Amino acid sequence: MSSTRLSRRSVLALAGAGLTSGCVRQLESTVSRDERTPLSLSIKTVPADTDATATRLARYLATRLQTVGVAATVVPMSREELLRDVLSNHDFDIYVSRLLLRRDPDFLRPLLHSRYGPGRGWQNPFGYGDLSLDSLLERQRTETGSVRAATLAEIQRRVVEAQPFTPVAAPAPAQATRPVRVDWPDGVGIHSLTGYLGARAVTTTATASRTESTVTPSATPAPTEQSTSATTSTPAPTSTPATTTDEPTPENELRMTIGDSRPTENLNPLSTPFRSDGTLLDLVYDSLGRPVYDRMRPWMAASWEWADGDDTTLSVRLRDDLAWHDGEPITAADVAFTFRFISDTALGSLDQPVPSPRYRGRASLVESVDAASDREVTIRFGDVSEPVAARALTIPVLPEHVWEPFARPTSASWLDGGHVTEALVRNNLDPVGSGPLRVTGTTARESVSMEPFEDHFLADDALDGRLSRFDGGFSFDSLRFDVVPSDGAAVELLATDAVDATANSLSADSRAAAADEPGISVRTSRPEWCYHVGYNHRRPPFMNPRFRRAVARLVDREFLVDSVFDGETEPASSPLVATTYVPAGDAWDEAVSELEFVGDSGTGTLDAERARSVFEDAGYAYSGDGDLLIQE
Amino acid sequence: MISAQSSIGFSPLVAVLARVLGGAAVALALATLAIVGPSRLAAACGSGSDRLREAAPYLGLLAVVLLVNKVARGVGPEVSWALGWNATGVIYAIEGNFVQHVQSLATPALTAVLSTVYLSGYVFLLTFPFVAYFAAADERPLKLTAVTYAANYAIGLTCYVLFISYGPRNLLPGQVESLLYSTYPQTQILTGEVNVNTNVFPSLHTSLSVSAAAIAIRTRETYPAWAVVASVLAAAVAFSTMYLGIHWGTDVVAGVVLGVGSVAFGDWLVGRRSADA
Repeated sequence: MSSTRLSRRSVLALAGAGLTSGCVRQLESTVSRDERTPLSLSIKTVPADTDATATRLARYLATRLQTVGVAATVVPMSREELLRDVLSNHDFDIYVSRLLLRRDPDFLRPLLHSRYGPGRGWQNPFGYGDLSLDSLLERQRTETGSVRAATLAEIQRRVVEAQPFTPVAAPAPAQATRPVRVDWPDGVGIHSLTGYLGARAVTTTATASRTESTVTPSATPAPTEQSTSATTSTPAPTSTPATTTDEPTPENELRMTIGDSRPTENLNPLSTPFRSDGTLLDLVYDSLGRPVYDRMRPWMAASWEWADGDDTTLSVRLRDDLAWHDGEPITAADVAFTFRFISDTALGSLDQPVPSPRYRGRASLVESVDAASDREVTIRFGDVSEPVAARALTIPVLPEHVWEPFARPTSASWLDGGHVTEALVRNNLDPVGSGPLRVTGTTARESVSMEPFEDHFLADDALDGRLSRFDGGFSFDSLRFDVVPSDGAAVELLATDAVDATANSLSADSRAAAADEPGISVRTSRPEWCYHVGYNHRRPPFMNPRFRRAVARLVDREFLVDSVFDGETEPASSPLVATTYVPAGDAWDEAVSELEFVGDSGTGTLDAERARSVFEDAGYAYSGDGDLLIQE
Repeated sequence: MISAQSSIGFSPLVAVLARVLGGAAVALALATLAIVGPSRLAAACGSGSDRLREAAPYLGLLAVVLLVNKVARGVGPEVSWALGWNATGVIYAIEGNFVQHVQSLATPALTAVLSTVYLSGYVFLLTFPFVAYFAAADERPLKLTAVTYAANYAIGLTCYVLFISYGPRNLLPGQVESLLYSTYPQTQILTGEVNVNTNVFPSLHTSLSVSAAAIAIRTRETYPAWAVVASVLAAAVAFSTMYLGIHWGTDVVAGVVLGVGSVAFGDWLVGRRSADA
């Protein structure tokens, strides 16, 4: 392992420092045992096809680092390989990627708490450690109201100061759709559980969009009126004439594009490298509760109740007649199993527990889960406030009869040291969940197909209050995700009516192209991720906060928002940018302004001399050739 | 790779495929008439089965290599990532912003021409030799073409498995424009079916075109016009790969070396087997 890392790093050194400024000098410095060597580093990210914004940010940073004498090379990698290197192998210097933002700020705790440094997954991939920050992170989860807000303000001030990673900006997801075909619910993103459940086919689908030129116009109302008023039900079969036959797809299918092909090869909710936002699996796997329009609502649970005088014990009652997609009944034992399983996917069969990295943060809130009866579960939480505890209710519930057999070391245990279970790495391409949609097929790198699960509780039409808007469940006959190689291709497919909407968020360029197409509208929703620069604190010089702060001062957010994002994107100094917890006031402004861009703000042009002096002030020296030197 | 499954999902894919292959077919028909000529073709049909039997082992070799190629491209990326040799940074360090300079020549008309060359022109350049050499009196160029293509694929594929390399459009968005895919986004659905975007070193478009042109120059006595057409077309294909932002200059240089080397290998193999016989 270490030998491959060495060889890869030396290749990078050759690429960066060697070939650009001469191998001889570097060789000399090695031979003469001068312990200070020119810094060369790699910036890992995804290629432009996958996420042009990330690639451009990485390029931006690389060129600014080169200006201050650091041989920086951008290394594009596929999504899953990048996540494997960053989250599992911790094999990186710097990376640029999206950070998934959660509604509740408690997501910062697993992200930055030092206890999570050695583990895998989106838990402190940086290897950052600060004991006083740790205790603040632990404290905020027990607090509420203004007390919690004050603690979170202090946390953010410290995070800005220490720059464990550098947030850049949190763009609004932008999806394109054809309003004449599908009516999407207001106030939520298209590519979300509530988006899909609330989507309705526009009643005169076929007549409005496909036969405009052949059918008398008076027969169809204006499409705009349709898209706003027709929120009722699926089109009656008789209203869909089969006059246009170039579409052999089922009549009432909702057809989406996705840019991310990983779900076509892996549908395991416990996988780290194959998951990002997890929306597809939100459709397939239900959880006890769901955030619906910003409030946590009972979902698989019929109701829940905090024990009297004990705010750490929650009694959950499951809905009656819940079933898995394979027809087996769901019981409280499955729920108890799920919490036990994500805390140890080996179920005690190995020397050490093997938790699911993806849910460690949420699982850590829970002390125990017991099935009190066939339909009742008792959850005991640690010392956490109710809103934070509710996060644990969003963990997908897994069927014990399917997952129990995978609680064993992988067949490649000679490779992974026997500390990984089959459960964490299996593809799970035929997932047995209990969600409103059921997977009917996958074609590697091409598509995922789903259909409504007729035994789902939403299909019953007898829901009370808050969930009644989802009565009947998913309203189309099927749902299909087609993988597209790029945003541009997605817009093209939409323009030719081969799909109904894009699940992938469009980059600024494609968004403009989509807006120019007749019949296509672009919908934005609130930020769900934040682009950030991550540093590997396990390697010099990134463990030095002064170095990270100097790097952070190379980032001109104002310029990037205009040139890489769409100009309306919110620049982000705090990872809590999408919450109401970003502090205001002098102390915060001062902390932020200390990291001001070293150059002409808004132009991206670095003041090279001043920027170098920032690194010198941080204790770094330069060689005669202008290379920044570090102690290896 | 263009399965029925995807053609149902992507009717635009069928449309692009029809246009690309249609363009190549028209060129093929015209060139057959003008360069080979009806009389030569008629004569060839008589003695064709003999020549085919002669060349069968070589054509068979090509078929096997193409089959292996198809299978290996499925698993290739996983092997590449396991090896982890990402050459993108090295290539960029060698040539810098060369492709960006090439793209400074861009005009809409040139983009249209070179996109056609890249897609249809390339297919025509590679398929016409089989028609032409089938109709020629000497079967050697037919054998040579088959072996040379096979060598191109075999060595190219080995490089694809060994190295991960992304093209300029994937490393330098905003500097290098993805001209083919931004002008004709639907074409990416087609090329995405055929190629994986981690496989750019070397440029197989370049190497196969160079091979075809090199053999065309050898047979200039039989088909003088083809020698000229193939040379111009091969140069245009090689240039288009850079102009469209798909390949690095380094990929193209390596492609030229591979293309010429494959012809030399083909010469050696066909010569040796003829000597044995």
